[in-house]
Amino acid sequence: MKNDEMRRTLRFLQWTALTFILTLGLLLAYDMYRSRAPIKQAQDELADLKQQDLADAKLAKTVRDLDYLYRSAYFQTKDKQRRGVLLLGIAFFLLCGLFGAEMFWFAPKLKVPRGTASVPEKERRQLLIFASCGIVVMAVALAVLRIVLVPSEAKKPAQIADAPNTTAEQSGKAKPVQTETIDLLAALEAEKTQWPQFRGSTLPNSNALPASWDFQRKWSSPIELSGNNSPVIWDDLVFLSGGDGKNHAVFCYDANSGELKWKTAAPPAANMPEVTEDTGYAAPTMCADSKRVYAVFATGQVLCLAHDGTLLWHKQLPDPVIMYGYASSPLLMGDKLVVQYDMDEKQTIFALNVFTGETMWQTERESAQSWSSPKAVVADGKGMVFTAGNMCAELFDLETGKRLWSQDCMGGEVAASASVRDGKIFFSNSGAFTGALGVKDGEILFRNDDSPAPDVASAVLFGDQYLLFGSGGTIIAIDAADGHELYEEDLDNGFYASPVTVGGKVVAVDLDGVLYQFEPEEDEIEIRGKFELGKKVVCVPAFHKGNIILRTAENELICLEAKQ
Amino acid sequence: MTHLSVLLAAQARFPAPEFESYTLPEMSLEELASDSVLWRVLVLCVFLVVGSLCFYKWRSRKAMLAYSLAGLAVFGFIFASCPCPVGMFQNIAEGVAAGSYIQPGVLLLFAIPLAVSLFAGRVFCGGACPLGAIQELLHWKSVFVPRPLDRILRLIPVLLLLVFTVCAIFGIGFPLCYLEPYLPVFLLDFATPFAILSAVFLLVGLFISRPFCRYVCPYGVLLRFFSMFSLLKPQITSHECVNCRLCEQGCPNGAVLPPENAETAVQHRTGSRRISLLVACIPFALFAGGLFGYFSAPVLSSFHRDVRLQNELDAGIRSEAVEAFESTKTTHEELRARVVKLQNGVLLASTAAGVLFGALVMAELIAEARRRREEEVYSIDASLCFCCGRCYAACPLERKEKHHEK
Repeated sequence: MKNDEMRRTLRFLQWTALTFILTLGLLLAYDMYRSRAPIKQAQDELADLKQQDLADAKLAKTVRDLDYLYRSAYFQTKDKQRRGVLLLGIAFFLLCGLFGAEMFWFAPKLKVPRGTASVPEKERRQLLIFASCGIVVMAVALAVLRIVLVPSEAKKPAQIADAPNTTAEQSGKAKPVQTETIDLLAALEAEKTQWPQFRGSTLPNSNALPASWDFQRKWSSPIELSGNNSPVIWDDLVFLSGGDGKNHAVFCYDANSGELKWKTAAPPAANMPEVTEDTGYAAPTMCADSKRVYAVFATGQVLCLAHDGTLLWHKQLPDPVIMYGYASSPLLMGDKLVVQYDMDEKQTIFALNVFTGETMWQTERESAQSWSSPKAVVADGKGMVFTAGNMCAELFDLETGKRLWSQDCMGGEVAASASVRDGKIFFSNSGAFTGALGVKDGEILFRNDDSPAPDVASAVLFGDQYLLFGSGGTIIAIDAADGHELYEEDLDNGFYASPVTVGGKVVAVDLDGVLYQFEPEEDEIEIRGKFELGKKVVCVPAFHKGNIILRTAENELICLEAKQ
Repeated sequence: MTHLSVLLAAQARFPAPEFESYTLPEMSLEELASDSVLWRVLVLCVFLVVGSLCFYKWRSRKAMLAYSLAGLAVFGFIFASCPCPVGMFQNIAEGVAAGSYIQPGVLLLFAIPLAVSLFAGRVFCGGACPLGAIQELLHWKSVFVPRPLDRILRLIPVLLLLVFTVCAIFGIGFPLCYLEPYLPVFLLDFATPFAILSAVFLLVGLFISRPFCRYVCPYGVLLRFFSMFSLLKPQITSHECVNCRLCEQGCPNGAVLPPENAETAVQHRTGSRRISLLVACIPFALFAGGLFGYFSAPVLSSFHRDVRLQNELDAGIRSEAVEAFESTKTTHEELRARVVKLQNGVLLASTAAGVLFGALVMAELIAEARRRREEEVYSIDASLCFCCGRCYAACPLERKEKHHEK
């Protein structure tokens, strides 16, 4: 009897504690819910008051008093809730104690079970049935989780391969990517009649010079965004890029009329690096082939577009941190777009698949930052890529990215690009190196440390001469056979735009926009033509059907045709 | 500690006064953190020794109840759910995976219960674990889970252990913390949805004994494994068992095993065939487990912050994470490279975990398919016993002996 009373007492206490917990819990929950709105209201009210003129002493005092009032109310509420929760915890512990006390004094009444003991054999059969059910439940749960949690594109569990960075599907302008093989030599051959990349084609260009060097404007068009890249041309389309600190875009003009055919904006850049005004956000010259055009920006973005302006793929290269800003032009060689990416911290050369943007290979270079553009080398039908950077000149296999040789001959700030002929690589850059290297093993065939070398414009090969166009206005010819200086010519103004050879002449434009046609002689350079454009030019001129297309520093694209 | 943490949280929610004369009070979080873990280790050791004595020497259900109540007070409310079988496992797994420094105290809290289980079984679960203690005390009427179902459900913690190990290795986060249902009770912080989970588990626990320990706790899997090799084995009675089956009725955790009769020829044939079949199924189970892990990998990866960010970027969602990412110097390519690397790692680890899970399932099935020794006494499976002492209280022989002792 005594036990029964005690048990009843314990049960009563358990119910009391349980009721207390539930009641207090509900009250606390309600209090927490109720206190939210006034606190928010008070904060809003204070914020409104603070926006008024607090120089007014009366208003400031009101704000101060209200702030104190609300703050006090807030912490009093919190303190009250804290005490309530503490009480709840104590009650909870008491409830546990009461349950424990009942078990302590009153062991559960167990009855001898009726029937036979559990049958292990039967349980074993059931176990297998439950195991089968468990497998089904797990499979269903997994399927549901995959549907709910995993986006459809990511459902393929294996992503071992390096995925293409950002495809056109993600840009919202989806276009199926077709892959095909491109024969390197055929592609280079096809380039000869076009003006497809920095300084024209890899093989000697077959475009014709204008009939005379007295020009008239055929057309001119404004360019929406500035850039120091040179125009490139495929058939009747002129491509160039532009960019500022916010927007980047590729533009296409009709080479015959100057009409803007399309403009495609680049996707927003993940990072906006700092660049100098001289470099800008669109210094690298684009590349073009018969179906696509490729642009690289100072943001490290690489864009591939169809000739109709459709974005085919977009790739973001690693963090583009480089003094002055990124300026190396990409090099198109068949199915690979080669990007020399010499940043402050890391120097890498990438070969991107022109169809997908996928990195086909990338090789790190032991160098410092440079602004030089890679140069195509073709020997025995095999493609190679020459790069110059601070410290080393290097040659890479186009197919594998394997470093074929490295010549430790460079230094300083390297910005120029090389010229290649007859198994020799010619290079000249102020503070770096002027001379020639053998394609086979990188042996220095000659070097000239005496003649002043250009610091921006890339030197050009013409016949037996290697011509250096300095930014001070000096033209120096050195012997392409042994490197000794042949002659020196001083002009009125310097050159930033690299000279090119077209139609058996050298064409160059100086900083004042004077367009020259040179014919180097044995001991001097003859000026065969001189035309004053009257606008500053830092970009390489492009040639199209006997016309010259120039990009001025004033964001203007001009087509010059010979006067009849 | 709770008081301070509530105050700190409250101050953080209300902006500090903007008057020039106001100076922010110094928050010394270090003082909170320096609460000695080694002191807790010492208390834990004392508890485990006392628990072992209560269970193995005094063989007293009442002593084990007192042990649970004391454990609940000390480790649950005073130490605020420490040692926590969920947090401990997660801390250690992540620390080991990241190669980061693990506090000796934390390591000891993790290792000591495991070491003790090699000598005295799961005494830690008996009452030193605050989660075990609260479930032990808040149990009202036992609803028995059929043994076959119980054995299958006990594989869930194994699966969780493997899944959360993969998560910890690859920094996928702390999903295990969401499965610590009693934390709001101990921290006195009833924020939803944890409070709802607490209520559910407490309610279920009133009828089904120790639902968390049996069907969720990943640390329990380790304790179960270690206690299989325990030197001390729990024994229902030191007298000759009369097969009254009361102990089986008394144990709601399914740890009491009934004796098996001598097998008949038919049973022998059936049993042999069943075991042969299970052994033959091992390669398929390993393959199925691997496949399960393989297809689970994208699900696991999707919880990682980088993968979530990548998915948001791909979907063009302008979330706070995307904006934060764009304010960093990390490029899209670097992020994608990280994601691909992570997904590949998770894929391999998840597949391996799946194979292991398949192996463990088969081991469990084969172990259960084997006949027990032909002893005509009820015995205890040491790996499943939570050392609650209910069987002692249920056994009439034990009660009689206690009566005589008095």
